[in-house]
Amino acid sequence: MEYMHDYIIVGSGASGGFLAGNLHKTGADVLLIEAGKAYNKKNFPNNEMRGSAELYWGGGFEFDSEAKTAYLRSRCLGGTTIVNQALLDRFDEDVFDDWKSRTGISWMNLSDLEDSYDAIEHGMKLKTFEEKDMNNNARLFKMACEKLGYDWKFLRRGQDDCALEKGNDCIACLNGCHRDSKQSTWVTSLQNAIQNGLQVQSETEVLSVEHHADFCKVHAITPQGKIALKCRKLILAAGSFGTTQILLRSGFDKKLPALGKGFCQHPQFMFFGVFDDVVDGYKGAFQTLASGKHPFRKMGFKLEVVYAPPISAGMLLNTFGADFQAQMLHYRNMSSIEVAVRDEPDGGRLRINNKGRLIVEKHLTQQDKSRKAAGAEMLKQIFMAQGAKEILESPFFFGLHLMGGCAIGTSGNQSVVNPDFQIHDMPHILIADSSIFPSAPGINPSLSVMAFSHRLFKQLNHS
Amino acid sequence: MATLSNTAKKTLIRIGNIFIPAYNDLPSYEASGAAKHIDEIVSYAPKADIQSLSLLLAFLSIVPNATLRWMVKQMRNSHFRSGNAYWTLFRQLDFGIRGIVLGTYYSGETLSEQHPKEPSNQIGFYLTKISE
Repeated sequence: MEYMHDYIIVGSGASGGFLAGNLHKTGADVLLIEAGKAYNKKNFPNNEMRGSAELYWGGGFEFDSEAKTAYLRSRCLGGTTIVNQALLDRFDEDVFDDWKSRTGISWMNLSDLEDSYDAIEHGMKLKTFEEKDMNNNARLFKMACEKLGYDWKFLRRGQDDCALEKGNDCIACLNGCHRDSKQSTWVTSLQNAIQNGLQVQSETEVLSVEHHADFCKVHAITPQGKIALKCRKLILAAGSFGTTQILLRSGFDKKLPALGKGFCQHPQFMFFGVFDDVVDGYKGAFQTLASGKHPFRKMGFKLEVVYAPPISAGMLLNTFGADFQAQMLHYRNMSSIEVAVRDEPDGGRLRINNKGRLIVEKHLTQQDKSRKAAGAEMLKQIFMAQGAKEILESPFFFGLHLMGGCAIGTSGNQSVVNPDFQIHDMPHILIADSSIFPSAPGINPSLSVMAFSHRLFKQLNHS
Repeated sequence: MATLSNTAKKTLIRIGNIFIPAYNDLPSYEASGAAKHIDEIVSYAPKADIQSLSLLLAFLSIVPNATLRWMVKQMRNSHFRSGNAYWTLFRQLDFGIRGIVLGTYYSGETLSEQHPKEPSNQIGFYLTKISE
């Protein structure tokens, strides 16, 4: 007789990592499956080259069907929480009003989710940046915003002790945090759970799943070959791309007309300002400030101070040859700000080709382009107020925060997952990762993914 | 695990020199020794993609540098063009080839007797990592 786990969880990021640790604590038999490798603070990749290659699907980037958008999707134990900047904000009522209208779900509001947000926040270390944490890039942004009368705010990050006062450069943690300071699911949930017996199978990619009357089956491939596993409940937490792809490969699109539809993202457009003086935008805490709510939220974009290590910065420049080398010699003399747009979900679609490879169909709509143009215009004013002698715009953009594909809702025709996080008519498969988002929120999704996962955890714990 | 053929790597290095020529004290792509990391980097990319790239680069081994230079211009311009198959291919090449070239050039692991300074250091990138 094949072994039956209580839970198999696929994916170890903001959703899967949280759920695995917490369900394990209840005494349940949990197996966590992760396609990527397991690392710890002592053996994360030691430079940007290896970090990009080892920690991301596609060996660095993935693309949409027209190669206009580059996607960064992490592939390691801890998922995107290992490589992201751990910026953690609750969604606001703008998001929940929109989602309640789209989904018909009554609990889509801040009040009903407050206990979940509280629980997540109490389970980790959070820091709202202060004046003393700003590097020159941030100081230039603040100065220019105040000069122009634009609202700005300090960002809040999941971190413990980044040793900024000792000169630690946080940009290194884009390859995994060497201090266990960044509040990834590895730090907040998985390390302890594994020490206490949580079963984890890394370097294992799930190919397809089956849903039966009282169990689920998972077909996966490991470095040693194919395996099949059984469980009472299956939780898919592989993110918008991964979760959707697994369900498509499993043939579920025939039963779920909304599967793969509504893919959305926050397109991020990077700009650099060039100065005579050294800025050293990569030093210290490199992402501490963003635009405030007004007027940016209603305009559909936000501006964030950010920087990139050399390979990424080089990729973002629009030159080659001697011009490129000349620009890279100004690496220390550049400030950088991104325009992050809240895109329209309609028209974005995830599907698979005949080899099961994911195809991302997503175009910028006219509204997306208008929002970008408005953001770029404000950003150029900011750079000029900073005294930049030249402004460089990246010719392509990243699609950050991959969302949708398995939208949550009450209608079986327009959603994949019901208000209890179960796939419609398949009660033993549950999803609470970003694939269930019905539209782009315009706010970092990580904390809310964890909050939804906490709500699912409460549900499972009760039953 | 896929790799680029030796012929493909030689073409990649030629293209790398177009993207990254010698400039002031900065070495060209070839002179930097960065190519020694190509096999390691491409081993993480999808096998089918690397096999296709290897075939294309091997085919391009017979074309003169002027043609490769024209291709590089097409790659760079592709991001301002529409979504048809022609420009999509050049965008894919731009991401893929530049990713390998820049990724290895700024790896921080190209030191040699000929070039005792890393390009990443020469542009002023010195990372401080405090572990304890």
